[in-house]
Amino acid sequence: MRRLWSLMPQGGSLPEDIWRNRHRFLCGLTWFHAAIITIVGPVLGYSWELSLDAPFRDRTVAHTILEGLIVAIFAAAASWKGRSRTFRATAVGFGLMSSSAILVHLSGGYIELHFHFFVMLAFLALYQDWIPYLLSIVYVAIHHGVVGVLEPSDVYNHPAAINAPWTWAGIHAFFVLWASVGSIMAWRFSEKNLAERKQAEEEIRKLNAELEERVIERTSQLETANKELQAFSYSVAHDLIAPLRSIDGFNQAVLEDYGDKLDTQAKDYLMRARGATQRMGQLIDDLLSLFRLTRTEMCPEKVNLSELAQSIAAELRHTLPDRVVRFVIAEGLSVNGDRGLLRMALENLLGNAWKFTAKKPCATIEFGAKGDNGMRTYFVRDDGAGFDMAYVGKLFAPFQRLHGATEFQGTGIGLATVQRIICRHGGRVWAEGEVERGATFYFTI
Amino acid sequence: MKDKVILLVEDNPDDEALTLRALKKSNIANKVVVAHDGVEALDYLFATGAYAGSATSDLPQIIFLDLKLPKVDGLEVLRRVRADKRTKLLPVVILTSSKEEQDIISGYSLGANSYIRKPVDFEKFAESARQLGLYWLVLNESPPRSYGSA
Repeated sequence: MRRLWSLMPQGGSLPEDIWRNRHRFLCGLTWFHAAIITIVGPVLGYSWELSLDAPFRDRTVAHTILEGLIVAIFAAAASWKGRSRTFRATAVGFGLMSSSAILVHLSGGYIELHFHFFVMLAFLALYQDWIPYLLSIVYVAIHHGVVGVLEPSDVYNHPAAINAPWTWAGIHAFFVLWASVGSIMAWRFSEKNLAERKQAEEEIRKLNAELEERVIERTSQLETANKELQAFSYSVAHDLIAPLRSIDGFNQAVLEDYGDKLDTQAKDYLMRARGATQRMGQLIDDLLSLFRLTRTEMCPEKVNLSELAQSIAAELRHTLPDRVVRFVIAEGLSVNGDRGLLRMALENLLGNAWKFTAKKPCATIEFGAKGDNGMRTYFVRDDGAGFDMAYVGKLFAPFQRLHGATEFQGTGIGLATVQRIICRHGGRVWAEGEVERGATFYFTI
Repeated sequence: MKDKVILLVEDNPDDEALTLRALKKSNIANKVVVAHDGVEALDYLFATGAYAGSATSDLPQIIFLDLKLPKVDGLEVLRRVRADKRTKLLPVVILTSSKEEQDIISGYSLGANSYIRKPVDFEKFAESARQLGLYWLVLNESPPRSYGSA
Protein backbone atom coordinates (compact mmCIF):
# COMPACT_ATOMS: atom_id res chain seq x y z
CA MET A 1 0.00 0.00 0.00
CA ARG A 2 2.76 2.34 1.00
CA ARG A 3 4.62 1.37 -2.18
CA LEU A 4 1.55 2.09 -4.25
CA TRP A 5 1.21 5.42 -2.48
CA SER A 6 4.84 6.27 -3.25
CA LEU A 7 4.09 5.70 -6.94
CA MET A 8 1.45 8.41 -6.83
CA PRO A 9 2.43 11.87 -8.01
CA GLN A 10 2.53 14.54 -5.36
CA GLY A 11 0.39 17.06 -7.21
CA GLY A 12 0.27 20.85 -7.21
CA SER A 13 4.01 21.17 -7.72
CA LEU A 14 4.13 22.81 -11.15
CA PRO A 15 6.35 25.87 -11.27
CA GLU A 16 4.32 29.06 -11.52
CA ASP A 17 5.32 29.93 -15.09
CA ILE A 18 4.44 26.47 -16.48
CA TRP A 19 1.13 26.42 -14.58
CA ARG A 20 0.21 29.84 -15.90
CA ASN A 21 0.90 28.81 -19.52
CA ARG A 22 -1.22 25.68 -19.21
CA HIS A 23 -4.01 27.50 -17.41
CA ARG A 24 -4.13 30.14 -20.13
CA PHE A 25 -4.70 27.41 -22.70
CA LEU A 26 -7.32 25.51 -20.62
CA CYS A 27 -9.15 28.71 -19.73
CA GLY A 28 -9.32 29.55 -23.42
CA LEU A 29 -10.64 26.06 -24.11
CA THR A 30 -13.46 26.61 -21.59
CA TRP A 31 -14.41 29.98 -23.13
CA PHE A 32 -14.34 28.28 -26.55
CA HIS A 33 -16.84 25.65 -25.33
CA ALA A 34 -19.12 28.34 -23.87
CA ALA A 35 -19.19 30.01 -27.28
CA ILE A 36 -19.73 26.76 -29.27
CA ILE A 37 -22.60 25.61 -27.02
CA THR A 38 -24.27 29.02 -27.23
CA ILE A 39 -24.31 28.99 -31.04
CA VAL A 40 -25.50 25.37 -31.35
CA GLY A 41 -29.15 26.56 -31.15
CA PRO A 42 -29.04 29.23 -33.89
CA VAL A 43 -26.78 27.09 -36.12
CA LEU A 44 -29.02 24.01 -35.93
CA GLY A 45 -32.12 26.20 -36.43
CA TYR A 46 -33.70 25.69 -33.01
CA SER A 47 -36.85 27.61 -32.10
CA TRP A 48 -36.40 31.28 -31.12
CA GLU A 49 -39.42 30.97 -28.82
CA LEU A 50 -39.28 33.35 -25.88
CA SER A 51 -41.22 32.20 -22.83
CA LEU A 52 -40.48 31.60 -19.18
CA ASP A 53 -40.03 27.88 -19.61
CA ALA A 54 -38.32 28.03 -23.02
CA PRO A 55 -34.77 27.98 -21.55
CA PHE A 56 -35.60 24.71 -19.78
CA ARG A 57 -36.94 22.92 -22.84
CA ASP A 58 -34.84 21.16 -25.46
CA ARG A 59 -34.44 22.45 -29.02
CA THR A 60 -34.85 26.13 -28.22
CA VAL A 61 -32.20 28.80 -28.78
CA ALA A 62 -32.88 30.06 -25.25
CA HIS A 63 -31.94 26.63 -23.92
CA THR A 64 -28.50 26.52 -25.63
CA ILE A 65 -27.85 30.11 -24.59
CA LEU A 66 -28.58 29.19 -20.95
CA GLU A 67 -26.26 26.17 -21.21
CA GLY A 68 -23.52 28.26 -22.82
CA LEU A 69 -23.97 30.75 -19.97
CA ILE A 70 -23.36 28.02 -17.36
CA VAL A 71 -20.04 27.12 -19.01
CA ALA A 72 -19.21 30.84 -19.34
CA ILE A 73 -19.72 31.28 -15.57
CA PHE A 74 -17.14 28.55 -14.92
CA ALA A 75 -14.79 30.11 -17.49
CA ALA A 76 -15.19 33.50 -15.76
CA ALA A 77 -14.45 31.91 -12.35
CA ALA A 78 -11.35 30.30 -13.86
CA SER A 79 -10.20 33.70 -15.17
CA TRP A 80 -10.58 35.30 -11.72
CA LYS A 81 -6.99 36.35 -10.97
CA GLY A 82 -7.42 36.80 -7.22
CA ARG A 83 -8.23 33.15 -6.49
CA SER A 84 -5.94 30.22 -5.76
CA ARG A 85 -4.58 27.86 -8.38
CA THR A 86 -6.81 25.06 -7.06
CA PHE A 87 -9.95 27.19 -7.28
CA ARG A 88 -9.24 28.33 -10.82
CA ALA A 89 -8.26 24.86 -12.05
CA THR A 90 -11.40 23.36 -10.45
CA ALA A 91 -13.51 25.99 -12.24
CA VAL A 92 -11.92 24.93 -15.54
CA GLY A 93 -12.61 21.27 -14.64
CA PHE A 94 -16.29 21.94 -13.92
CA GLY A 95 -16.58 24.11 -17.05
CA LEU A 96 -15.13 21.41 -19.30
CA MET A 97 -17.07 18.56 -17.66
CA SER A 98 -20.28 20.61 -17.96
CA SER A 99 -19.46 21.15 -21.64
CA SER A 100 -19.09 17.39 -22.12
CA ALA A 101 -22.38 16.69 -20.33
CA ILE A 102 -24.21 19.40 -22.33
CA LEU A 103 -22.83 18.13 -25.65
CA VAL A 104 -23.86 14.55 -24.77
CA HIS A 105 -27.27 15.81 -23.80
CA LEU A 106 -27.66 18.03 -26.92
CA SER A 107 -26.75 15.08 -29.14
CA GLY A 108 -29.40 12.97 -27.49
CA GLY A 109 -26.90 10.73 -25.70
CA TYR A 110 -24.67 9.75 -28.64
CA ILE A 111 -21.87 7.48 -27.46
CA GLU A 112 -19.34 9.37 -29.65
CA LEU A 113 -20.00 12.55 -27.65
CA HIS A 114 -18.97 10.66 -24.48
CA PHE A 115 -15.44 10.69 -25.95
CA HIS A 116 -15.50 14.35 -25.04
CA PHE A 117 -15.28 13.46 -21.32
CA PHE A 118 -12.10 11.46 -21.87
CA VAL A 119 -10.47 14.14 -23.96
CA MET A 120 -11.30 16.85 -21.41
CA LEU A 121 -10.05 14.71 -18.49
CA ALA A 122 -6.79 14.20 -20.38
CA PHE A 123 -6.50 17.97 -20.76
CA LEU A 124 -7.27 18.51 -17.05
CA ALA A 125 -4.37 16.23 -16.14
CA LEU A 126 -2.16 19.03 -17.47
CA TYR A 127 -2.68 20.86 -14.16
CA GLN A 128 -0.98 17.94 -12.39
CA ASP A 129 -3.11 18.72 -9.36
CA TRP A 130 -5.25 16.29 -7.38
CA ILE A 131 -8.20 18.42 -6.23
CA PRO A 132 -9.38 19.78 -9.61
CA TYR A 133 -8.80 16.38 -11.20
CA LEU A 134 -10.64 14.32 -8.57
CA LEU A 135 -13.51 16.83 -8.32
CA SER A 136 -13.95 16.60 -12.10
CA ILE A 137 -14.11 12.80 -11.91
CA VAL A 138 -16.66 13.10 -9.08
CA TYR A 139 -18.57 15.50 -11.35
CA VAL A 140 -18.65 12.84 -14.11
CA ALA A 141 -19.71 10.13 -11.64
CA ILE A 142 -22.54 12.27 -10.24
CA HIS A 143 -23.63 13.26 -13.73
CA HIS A 144 -23.77 9.63 -14.90
CA GLY A 145 -25.26 8.39 -11.61
CA VAL A 146 -27.91 11.09 -11.10
CA VAL A 147 -28.84 12.32 -14.59
CA GLY A 148 -28.22 8.87 -16.13
CA VAL A 149 -30.63 7.26 -13.69
CA LEU A 150 -33.25 10.02 -13.62
CA GLU A 151 -33.16 10.92 -17.33
CA PRO A 152 -31.30 8.03 -19.02
CA SER A 153 -32.15 9.21 -22.54
CA ASP A 154 -30.24 12.43 -21.84
CA VAL A 155 -27.08 10.38 -21.27
CA TYR A 156 -27.42 7.24 -23.39
CA ASN A 157 -28.92 6.63 -26.79
CA HIS A 158 -29.32 2.88 -26.80
CA PRO A 159 -31.93 0.71 -25.10
CA ALA A 160 -29.47 -1.52 -23.21
CA ALA A 161 -28.13 1.43 -21.30
CA ILE A 162 -31.43 3.18 -20.88
CA ASN A 163 -32.81 0.03 -19.29
CA ALA A 164 -29.84 -0.51 -16.97
CA PRO A 165 -28.33 2.93 -16.32
CA TRP A 166 -26.39 1.83 -13.19
CA THR A 167 -24.57 -0.90 -15.08
CA TRP A 168 -23.64 1.47 -17.89
CA ALA A 169 -22.62 4.14 -15.45
CA GLY A 170 -20.27 1.52 -14.00
CA ILE A 171 -18.88 0.66 -17.44
CA HIS A 172 -18.27 4.32 -18.17
CA ALA A 173 -16.71 4.79 -14.76
CA PHE A 174 -14.35 1.89 -15.42
CA PHE A 175 -13.06 3.50 -18.62
CA VAL A 176 -12.83 6.92 -17.03
CA LEU A 177 -10.73 5.43 -14.24
CA TRP A 178 -8.38 3.69 -16.66
CA ALA A 179 -8.00 6.84 -18.72
CA SER A 180 -7.13 8.60 -15.44
CA VAL A 181 -4.49 6.01 -14.60
CA GLY A 182 -2.76 6.76 -17.91
CA SER A 183 -2.92 10.50 -17.33
CA ILE A 184 -1.69 10.20 -13.75
CA MET A 185 1.26 8.07 -14.87
CA ALA A 186 2.22 10.67 -17.45
CA TRP A 187 1.80 13.33 -14.81
CA ARG A 188 4.07 11.48 -12.39
CA PHE A 189 6.88 11.22 -14.96
CA SER A 190 6.61 14.89 -15.72
CA GLU A 191 6.76 15.63 -11.99
CA LYS A 192 9.88 13.49 -11.64
CA ASN A 193 11.55 15.31 -14.50
CA LEU A 194 10.66 18.65 -12.98
CA ALA A 195 11.97 17.56 -9.60
CA GLU A 196 15.24 16.39 -11.14
CA ARG A 197 15.58 19.64 -13.02
CA LYS A 198 14.89 21.59 -9.86
CA GLN A 199 17.45 19.54 -7.96
CA ALA A 200 20.04 20.07 -10.68
CA GLU A 201 19.34 23.79 -10.63
CA GLU A 202 19.61 23.81 -6.86
CA GLU A 203 22.94 22.00 -7.09
CA ILE A 204 24.25 24.49 -9.65
CA ARG A 205 23.10 27.33 -7.43
CA LYS A 206 24.84 25.79 -4.45
CA LEU A 207 28.04 25.19 -6.39
CA ASN A 208 27.96 28.75 -7.64
CA ALA A 209 27.45 30.04 -4.13
CA GLU A 210 30.37 27.94 -2.89
CA LEU A 211 32.53 29.17 -5.72
CA GLU A 212 31.57 32.75 -5.00
CA GLU A 213 32.44 32.25 -1.36
CA ARG A 214 35.79 30.77 -2.26
CA VAL A 215 36.52 33.66 -4.60
CA ILE A 216 35.69 36.14 -1.84
CA GLU A 217 37.88 34.24 0.58
CA ARG A 218 40.81 34.06 -1.85
CA THR A 219 40.41 37.71 -2.74
CA SER A 220 40.58 38.73 0.87
CA GLN A 221 43.64 36.52 1.40
CA LEU A 222 45.21 38.13 -1.63
CA GLU A 223 44.35 41.57 -0.33
CA THR A 224 45.92 40.74 3.01
CA ALA A 225 49.05 39.46 1.30
CA ASN A 226 49.17 42.59 -0.85
CA LYS A 227 48.76 44.82 2.17
CA GLU A 228 51.56 42.99 3.95
CA LEU A 229 53.73 43.34 0.90
CA GLN A 230 52.93 47.03 0.76
CA ALA A 231 53.72 47.51 4.44
CA PHE A 232 56.91 45.54 3.95
CA SER A 233 58.08 47.55 0.98
CA TYR A 234 57.15 50.79 2.73
CA SER A 235 59.25 49.80 5.69
CA VAL A 236 62.09 48.69 3.43
CA ALA A 237 61.95 51.97 1.55
CA HIS A 238 62.31 53.98 4.76
CA ASP A 239 64.14 51.89 7.29
CA LEU A 240 66.54 49.81 5.25
CA ILE A 241 67.88 52.72 3.25
CA ALA A 242 68.73 54.94 6.23
CA PRO A 243 71.48 52.78 7.81
CA LEU A 244 73.06 52.28 4.41
CA ARG A 245 73.26 56.00 3.98
CA SER A 246 74.92 56.30 7.38
CA ILE A 247 77.54 53.70 6.50
CA ASP A 248 78.27 55.35 3.21
CA GLY A 249 78.17 58.84 4.64
CA PHE A 250 80.52 58.20 7.56
CA ASN A 251 82.92 56.25 5.40
CA GLN A 252 83.02 59.23 3.10
CA ALA A 253 83.45 61.55 6.10
CA VAL A 254 86.46 59.53 7.26
CA LEU A 255 87.89 59.58 3.75
CA GLU A 256 87.43 63.31 3.46
CA ASP A 257 88.39 64.46 6.96
CA TYR A 258 91.14 61.94 7.80
CA GLY A 259 92.24 60.96 4.31
CA ASP A 260 95.72 62.32 4.90
CA LYS A 261 96.24 59.98 7.87
CA LEU A 262 95.24 56.84 5.95
CA ASP A 263 97.40 54.77 3.69
CA THR A 264 96.27 53.57 0.28
CA GLN A 265 95.07 50.21 1.56
CA ALA A 266 92.89 51.75 4.29
CA LYS A 267 91.37 54.06 1.72
CA ASP A 268 90.75 51.12 -0.60
CA TYR A 269 88.95 49.25 2.19
CA LEU A 270 86.72 52.23 2.87
CA MET A 271 86.02 52.63 -0.84
CA ARG A 272 85.01 48.97 -1.00
CA ALA A 273 82.65 49.43 1.93
CA ARG A 274 81.10 52.40 0.16
CA GLY A 275 80.79 50.43 -3.08
CA ALA A 276 79.02 47.64 -1.22
CA THR A 277 76.52 49.96 0.49
CA GLN A 278 75.73 51.65 -2.78
CA ARG A 279 75.22 48.28 -4.46
CA MET A 280 72.89 47.27 -1.68
CA GLY A 281 71.02 50.54 -2.06
CA GLN A 282 70.63 49.76 -5.76
CA LEU A 283 69.40 46.25 -4.94
CA ILE A 284 66.78 47.60 -2.55
CA ASP A 285 65.65 50.14 -5.13
CA ASP A 286 65.33 47.45 -7.77
CA LEU A 287 63.46 45.17 -5.41
CA LEU A 288 61.04 47.95 -4.55
CA SER A 289 60.41 48.79 -8.17
CA LEU A 290 59.73 45.10 -8.85
CA PHE A 291 57.13 45.11 -6.07
CA ARG A 292 55.68 48.32 -7.40
CA LEU A 293 55.18 46.71 -10.81
CA THR A 294 52.55 44.36 -9.44
CA ARG A 295 50.74 47.13 -7.64
CA THR A 296 50.47 49.93 -10.15
CA GLU A 297 47.30 50.17 -12.19
CA MET A 298 47.60 49.47 -15.91
CA CYS A 299 46.14 51.87 -18.47
CA PRO A 300 45.98 49.99 -21.77
CA GLU A 301 46.32 51.90 -25.03
CA LYS A 302 47.72 51.28 -28.50
CA VAL A 303 51.49 51.30 -28.16
CA ASN A 304 53.91 51.40 -31.08
CA LEU A 305 56.72 49.08 -29.95
CA SER A 306 58.87 49.94 -32.97
CA GLU A 307 58.93 53.63 -32.04
CA LEU A 308 59.65 52.76 -28.41
CA ALA A 309 62.54 50.54 -29.47
CA GLN A 310 63.92 53.30 -31.73
CA SER A 311 63.89 55.85 -28.94
CA ILE A 312 65.47 53.44 -26.44
CA ALA A 313 68.16 52.58 -28.99
CA ALA A 314 68.87 56.29 -29.42
CA GLU A 315 69.20 56.72 -25.66
CA LEU A 316 71.56 53.76 -25.41
CA ARG A 317 73.73 55.15 -28.21
CA HIS A 318 73.82 58.45 -26.36
CA THR A 319 75.29 56.80 -23.25
CA LEU A 320 78.30 55.43 -25.16
CA PRO A 321 78.54 57.18 -28.53
CA ASP A 322 81.83 55.47 -29.40
CA ARG A 323 80.43 51.94 -29.47
CA VAL A 324 79.74 50.39 -32.85
CA VAL A 325 76.32 48.79 -32.61
CA ARG A 326 73.94 48.17 -35.48
CA PHE A 327 70.25 48.31 -34.44
CA VAL A 328 67.82 46.46 -36.73
CA ILE A 329 64.31 47.46 -35.67
CA ALA A 330 61.22 46.24 -37.56
CA GLU A 331 58.69 48.92 -38.51
CA GLY A 332 55.08 49.29 -37.41
CA LEU A 333 54.82 46.79 -34.56
CA SER A 334 51.92 47.89 -32.35
CA VAL A 335 50.22 46.24 -29.40
CA ASN A 336 47.58 47.12 -26.84
CA GLY A 337 49.13 47.65 -23.45
CA ASP A 338 50.43 50.00 -20.81
CA ARG A 339 52.93 52.36 -22.42
CA GLY A 340 55.04 52.91 -19.30
CA LEU A 341 55.32 49.23 -18.45
CA LEU A 342 56.03 48.15 -22.02
CA ARG A 343 58.71 50.79 -22.27
CA MET A 344 60.27 49.45 -19.09
CA ALA A 345 60.22 45.91 -20.51
CA LEU A 346 61.84 46.98 -23.79
CA GLU A 347 64.37 49.12 -21.92
CA ASN A 348 65.41 46.08 -19.96
CA LEU A 349 65.59 43.76 -22.97
CA LEU A 350 67.42 46.22 -25.23
CA GLY A 351 69.54 47.39 -22.29
CA ASN A 352 70.59 43.79 -21.67
CA ALA A 353 71.42 43.32 -25.33
CA TRP A 354 73.45 46.52 -25.20
CA LYS A 355 75.22 45.41 -22.04
CA PHE A 356 76.04 41.88 -23.15
CA THR A 357 77.43 42.95 -26.51
CA ALA A 358 79.80 45.45 -24.86
CA LYS A 359 82.84 43.26 -25.51
CA LYS A 360 82.19 42.93 -29.24
CA PRO A 361 83.92 45.43 -31.46
CA CYS A 362 80.92 45.47 -33.77
CA ALA A 363 77.55 44.24 -32.46
CA THR A 364 74.07 43.79 -33.92
CA ILE A 365 70.89 44.16 -31.87
CA GLU A 366 67.61 43.26 -33.47
CA PHE A 367 63.97 43.88 -32.54
CA GLY A 368 61.26 42.21 -34.64
CA ALA A 369 58.27 39.90 -34.74
CA LYS A 370 57.33 36.54 -36.16
CA GLY A 371 53.93 35.13 -37.02
CA ASP A 372 50.72 36.95 -37.89
CA ASN A 373 48.61 39.28 -35.78
CA GLY A 374 46.74 36.45 -34.05
CA MET A 375 49.79 34.77 -32.53
CA ARG A 376 52.58 37.25 -33.01
CA THR A 377 55.85 36.61 -31.21
CA TYR A 378 58.15 39.56 -30.63
CA PHE A 379 61.85 39.13 -30.11
CA VAL A 380 64.99 41.00 -29.08
CA ARG A 381 68.14 39.36 -30.42
CA ASP A 382 71.79 40.16 -29.91
CA ASP A 383 75.08 38.58 -30.93
CA GLY A 384 76.77 39.17 -27.59
CA ALA A 385 77.94 37.03 -24.68
CA GLY A 386 74.84 34.80 -24.74
CA PHE A 387 74.22 32.20 -22.05
CA ASP A 388 74.27 28.48 -21.45
CA MET A 389 70.81 26.99 -22.08
CA ALA A 390 71.40 24.75 -19.03
CA TYR A 391 70.67 27.80 -16.85
CA VAL A 392 67.70 29.09 -18.81
CA GLY A 393 65.39 28.29 -15.86
CA LYS A 394 67.23 30.76 -13.63
CA LEU A 395 67.12 33.56 -16.14
CA PHE A 396 63.86 35.20 -15.08
CA ALA A 397 64.11 34.69 -11.31
CA PRO A 398 64.86 37.88 -9.37
CA PHE A 399 68.50 38.40 -8.33
CA GLN A 400 69.73 35.45 -10.38
CA ARG A 401 72.74 36.28 -12.48
CA LEU A 402 74.50 34.16 -15.06
CA HIS A 403 77.52 36.45 -15.29
CA GLY A 404 79.93 37.64 -12.64
CA ALA A 405 79.59 41.19 -11.35
CA THR A 406 83.07 42.05 -12.61
CA GLU A 407 82.22 40.76 -16.08
CA PHE A 408 78.89 42.54 -16.51
CA GLN A 409 77.25 44.85 -13.99
CA GLY A 410 73.71 44.44 -12.79
CA THR A 411 71.51 43.38 -9.92
CA GLY A 412 69.66 40.59 -11.70
CA ILE A 413 66.27 42.27 -11.56
CA GLY A 414 65.84 43.26 -15.20
CA LEU A 415 64.47 40.03 -16.63
CA ALA A 416 62.27 39.43 -13.58
CA THR A 417 60.81 42.86 -14.30
CA VAL A 418 60.29 41.97 -17.96
CA GLN A 419 58.57 38.74 -17.02
CA ARG A 420 56.26 40.49 -14.60
CA ILE A 421 55.30 43.12 -17.15
CA ILE A 422 54.65 40.59 -19.93
CA CYS A 423 52.71 38.41 -17.47
CA ARG A 424 50.52 41.37 -16.49
CA HIS A 425 49.74 41.80 -20.17
CA GLY A 426 48.63 38.17 -20.36
CA GLY A 427 51.66 37.16 -22.41
CA ARG A 428 54.62 34.84 -22.09
CA VAL A 429 58.35 35.40 -22.25
CA TRP A 430 61.14 32.91 -22.93
CA ALA A 431 64.73 32.89 -24.09
CA GLU A 432 67.19 31.06 -26.28
CA GLY A 433 70.91 31.50 -26.20
CA GLU A 434 74.35 30.07 -26.73
CA VAL A 435 77.56 31.04 -24.97
CA GLU A 436 79.45 33.68 -26.97
CA ARG A 437 76.93 33.49 -29.83
CA GLY A 438 74.21 35.74 -28.53
CA ALA A 439 70.78 35.52 -26.95
CA THR A 440 67.21 35.93 -28.18
CA PHE A 441 64.33 36.90 -25.90
CA TYR A 442 60.84 36.14 -27.18
CA PHE A 443 57.57 37.44 -25.84
CA THR A 444 53.89 37.44 -26.72
CA ILE A 445 51.25 39.96 -25.68
CA MET B 1 71.96 85.19 5.05
CA LYS B 2 72.84 84.56 8.69
CA ASP B 3 69.43 85.43 10.02
CA LYS B 4 67.78 82.81 7.90
CA VAL B 5 67.12 79.77 10.07
CA ILE B 6 66.74 76.27 8.69
CA LEU B 7 64.46 73.89 10.58
CA LEU B 8 65.64 70.34 10.12
CA VAL B 9 63.11 67.77 11.30
CA GLU B 10 65.02 64.52 11.58
CA ASP B 11 64.86 61.72 14.16
CA ASN B 12 67.83 59.70 12.98
CA PRO B 13 71.03 61.12 14.60
CA ASP B 14 73.17 59.72 11.77
CA ASP B 15 71.10 61.44 9.15
CA GLU B 16 71.13 64.57 11.24
CA ALA B 17 74.93 64.54 11.46
CA LEU B 18 75.27 63.79 7.75
CA THR B 19 72.84 66.51 6.75
CA LEU B 20 74.57 69.07 8.95
CA ARG B 21 77.91 68.01 7.56
CA ALA B 22 76.62 68.22 4.00
CA LEU B 23 75.27 71.72 4.63
CA LYS B 24 78.53 72.81 6.19
CA LYS B 25 80.51 71.32 3.29
CA SER B 26 78.34 73.33 0.94
CA ASN B 27 79.24 76.50 2.82
CA ILE B 28 75.74 77.04 4.07
CA ALA B 29 76.39 78.81 7.32
CA ASN B 30 72.81 79.41 8.39
CA LYS B 31 71.67 78.45 11.84
CA VAL B 32 70.09 75.01 11.76
CA VAL B 33 67.51 74.14 14.38
CA VAL B 34 66.98 70.40 14.69
CA ALA B 35 63.67 68.94 15.83
CA HIS B 36 63.84 65.24 16.58
CA ASP B 37 60.19 64.42 16.17
CA GLY B 38 56.97 65.90 14.87
CA VAL B 39 55.89 67.31 18.23
CA GLU B 40 59.14 69.15 18.71
CA ALA B 41 58.89 70.59 15.21
CA LEU B 42 55.35 71.84 15.85
CA ASP B 43 56.36 73.22 19.25
CA TYR B 44 59.17 75.18 17.63
CA LEU B 45 56.96 76.53 14.88
CA PHE B 46 54.04 77.52 17.07
CA ALA B 47 56.01 78.44 20.21
CA THR B 48 54.35 75.84 22.37
CA GLY B 49 55.66 73.15 24.75
CA ALA B 50 59.45 73.39 25.18
CA TYR B 51 59.51 76.49 22.97
CA ALA B 52 56.69 78.30 24.81
CA GLY B 53 57.53 81.96 25.20
CA SER B 54 59.64 82.36 22.11
CA ALA B 55 58.31 84.62 19.43
CA THR B 56 56.24 82.90 16.80
CA SER B 57 57.34 85.46 14.26
CA ASP B 58 60.77 83.79 14.37
CA LEU B 59 59.79 81.47 11.62
CA PRO B 60 62.46 79.49 9.78
CA GLN B 61 63.31 80.30 6.21
CA ILE B 62 62.78 76.71 5.21
CA ILE B 63 61.82 73.37 6.73
CA PHE B 64 63.62 70.19 5.77
CA LEU B 65 61.13 67.54 6.80
CA ASP B 66 61.66 63.81 7.18
CA LEU B 67 58.52 61.70 6.78
CA LYS B 68 59.01 58.83 9.21
CA LEU B 69 59.10 60.47 12.61
CA PRO B 70 58.19 59.39 16.13
CA LYS B 71 54.98 60.71 17.76
CA VAL B 72 53.68 62.92 14.94
CA ASP B 73 54.83 61.89 11.48
CA GLY B 74 56.10 64.19 8.76
CA LEU B 75 52.91 64.28 6.72
CA GLU B 76 50.94 65.30 9.80
CA VAL B 77 53.45 68.06 10.56
CA LEU B 78 53.05 69.27 7.00
CA ARG B 79 49.27 69.18 7.28
CA ARG B 80 49.35 71.25 10.48
CA VAL B 81 51.84 73.71 8.98
CA ARG B 82 49.61 74.24 5.97
CA ALA B 83 46.48 74.50 8.12
CA ASP B 84 47.78 77.38 10.21
CA LYS B 85 47.68 80.80 8.60
CA ARG B 86 50.96 81.83 10.24
CA THR B 87 52.88 79.04 8.55
CA LYS B 88 50.86 78.10 5.53
CA LEU B 89 53.22 79.79 3.06
CA LEU B 90 56.40 78.47 4.66
CA PRO B 91 58.57 76.56 2.18
CA VAL B 92 58.65 72.88 3.15
CA VAL B 93 61.04 70.44 1.49
CA ILE B 94 60.44 66.79 2.19
CA LEU B 95 63.78 65.11 2.68
CA THR B 96 63.31 61.39 3.13
CA SER B 97 64.62 57.91 2.32
CA SER B 98 61.61 56.70 0.42
CA LYS B 99 60.61 57.34 -3.13
CA GLU B 100 57.40 55.31 -2.70
CA GLU B 101 54.72 56.74 -4.89
CA GLN B 102 52.25 57.04 -2.03
CA ASP B 103 54.70 59.20 -0.04
CA ILE B 104 55.41 61.48 -2.97
CA ILE B 105 51.72 61.89 -3.81
CA SER B 106 50.69 62.53 -0.19
CA GLY B 107 53.58 64.96 0.22
CA TYR B 108 52.63 67.07 -2.77
CA SER B 109 48.89 66.78 -2.02
CA LEU B 110 49.48 68.27 1.40
CA GLY B 111 51.36 71.17 -0.15
CA ALA B 112 55.05 70.29 0.01
CA ASN B 113 57.17 72.65 -2.10
CA SER B 114 59.66 69.98 -3.01
CA TYR B 115 60.33 66.29 -2.53
CA ILE B 116 63.94 65.19 -2.27
CA ARG B 117 64.98 61.63 -1.80
CA LYS B 118 68.03 61.18 0.40
CA PRO B 119 70.24 58.96 -1.73
CA VAL B 120 72.45 56.25 -0.26
CA ASP B 121 75.48 57.74 -1.97
CA PHE B 122 76.78 60.46 0.34
CA GLU B 123 78.29 62.50 -2.44
CA LYS B 124 74.95 62.71 -4.16
CA PHE B 125 73.37 63.56 -0.82
CA ALA B 126 75.87 66.35 -0.25
CA GLU B 127 75.23 67.63 -3.74
CA SER B 128 71.46 67.64 -3.07
CA ALA B 129 72.01 69.57 0.16
CA ARG B 130 74.20 72.09 -1.60
CA GLN B 131 71.65 72.67 -4.33
CA LEU B 132 68.80 72.85 -1.81
CA GLY B 133 70.65 75.48 0.21
CA LEU B 134 71.52 77.43 -2.88
CA TYR B 135 68.01 77.34 -4.23
CA TRP B 136 65.91 77.90 -1.11
CA LEU B 137 68.21 80.23 0.81
CA VAL B 138 69.70 82.27 -2.01
CA LEU B 139 67.73 82.08 -5.25
CA ASN B 140 64.19 81.62 -4.07
CA GLU B 141 62.18 84.68 -3.08
CA SER B 142 60.39 83.80 0.16
CA PRO B 143 56.84 84.83 0.97
CA PRO B 144 56.74 88.13 2.89
CA ARG B 145 57.44 87.75 6.60
CA SER B 146 54.62 90.02 7.63
CA TYR B 147 52.09 87.76 6.02
CA GLY B 148 49.81 86.04 8.47
CA SER B 149 51.38 87.46 11.60
CA ALA B 150 49.15 90.49 11.30
